Amino acid sequence: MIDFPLIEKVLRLDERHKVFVDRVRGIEDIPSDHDFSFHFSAKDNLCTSEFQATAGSKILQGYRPPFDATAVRRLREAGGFLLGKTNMDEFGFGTFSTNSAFGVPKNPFDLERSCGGSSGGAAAAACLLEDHLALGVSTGGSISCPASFCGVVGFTPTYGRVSRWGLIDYANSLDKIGLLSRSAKDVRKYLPFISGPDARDPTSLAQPSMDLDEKVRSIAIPEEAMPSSESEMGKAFLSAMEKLENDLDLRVEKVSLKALKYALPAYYILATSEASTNLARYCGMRFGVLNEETDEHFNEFFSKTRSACFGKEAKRRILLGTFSRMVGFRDRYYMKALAVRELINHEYGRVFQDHDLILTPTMPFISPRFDEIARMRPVEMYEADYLTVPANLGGLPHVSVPCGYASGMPMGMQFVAPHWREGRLLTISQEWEEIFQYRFPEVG
Amino acid sequence: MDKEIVRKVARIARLDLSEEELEEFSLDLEEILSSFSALDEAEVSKEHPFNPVEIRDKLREDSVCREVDAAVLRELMKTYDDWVRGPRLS
Repeated sequence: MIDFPLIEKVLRLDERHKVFVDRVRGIEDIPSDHDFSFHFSAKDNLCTSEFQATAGSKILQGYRPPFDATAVRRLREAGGFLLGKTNMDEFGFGTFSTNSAFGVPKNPFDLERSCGGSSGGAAAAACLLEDHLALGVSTGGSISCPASFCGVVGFTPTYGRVSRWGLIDYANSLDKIGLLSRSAKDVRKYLPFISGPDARDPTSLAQPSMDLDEKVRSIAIPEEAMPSSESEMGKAFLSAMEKLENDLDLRVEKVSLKALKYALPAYYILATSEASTNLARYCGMRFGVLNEETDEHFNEFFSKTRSACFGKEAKRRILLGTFSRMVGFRDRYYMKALAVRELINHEYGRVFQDHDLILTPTMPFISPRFDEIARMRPVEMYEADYLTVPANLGGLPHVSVPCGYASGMPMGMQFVAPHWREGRLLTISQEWEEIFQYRFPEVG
Repeated sequence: MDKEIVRKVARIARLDLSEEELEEFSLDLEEILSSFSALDEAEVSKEHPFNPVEIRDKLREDSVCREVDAAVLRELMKTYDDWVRGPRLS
């Protein structure tokens, strides 16, 4: 129901949790001649015609796209009302949503803690609003991580399942549009709407159809990803493993996935290489912030806007990506990373011959406090993604679901399926929420 | 990483960095790349597809259509008498 109390709640929660970059202003923004059946939000790197699309970057401030991203258009056609654009790390560059030019979203369970990133605002919206569907985007774990920190279901489909048309690219061979919600039932209901071939995104054209009711019988746990049994995450994860075995009668077995250790460097090299080329288009001439000093030489003209508007992490990733592609370093970094992606997909394929799904914790810890994040080195932040990156690198579908609570904060576990087998993830996540009670914070 | 390499990379990427930023990023990149050294030992084949799943081209017949009104794009770029404004080339 899209009514005055809902809009009031959105405004109130946004004031406290800084969920949106742009959103509805009041009841007057709801067309009276429409009968909407649900409400949704879109991460701010998805283009929509009635709001700004900044991707969390100052360089795109004020940019109002003249079209809707395919995923947004399809949800509107399914009867959805778009509440607003959710906050995120600039261009998706981050694990804690602290790299946005438009404020930092605050965790629904604790205002002193992060929502996770980079789809932090999306996860917060999914947690704070009942029956809400949030469109998120994952490049290296940007749906799973915030889903884990905010205690919601975060679903990332196979690379190419959902058209990327209208998405502000981070890394074209890695970006995937997905869904976050309080319940896997909503994901099951709306995933078919946003999926399917789209002539505007050639990578969406080769996809097979989706079987939504695939059975799950066995789960593999990579030893390399097992948390310490003494840690909060370890205890929650072990208890979830037992529950899957005993209550759902699944075969749960440990396996070895040795190539996982190569995933993190390979991912960061590919992601930043692609990002550094994608971000070349932002130069003060075409979108968002426009440089008025046209008398300048073009090198200075472009550099001035880019240097003034890109945040620190964006600059860091542009430098890393540009370096990885440079003559003399390209074979050692970029080409090697491409080959490692192939190696990792081969290893996953070997495990999937005997098991339906692979399970790991989603993040190694509960959401950190902002003062803890401020003390982390960039490399430590990158390393925090080591559990979510491998499946993303391989373009494999995955889902993060809540699996425990410690210090009042949620923790998540992540199931990974073979390419195009999203149905297994929908089955397991629905069965799991029948036997494990999710908690949501009391919000006014 | 050597500060001069970072300076060169920044120039290629059209970023003006202050001396302080150069110092900071050269330390960061040094740390990041040294943590990536595990990649050197990975035994890989010569295969290196650019996408994680197989992408097949599908061709269609050409057809005339207009997706976005060009006037709207010109408006976004603040064109002047339909001329795109840009910097000097020399």
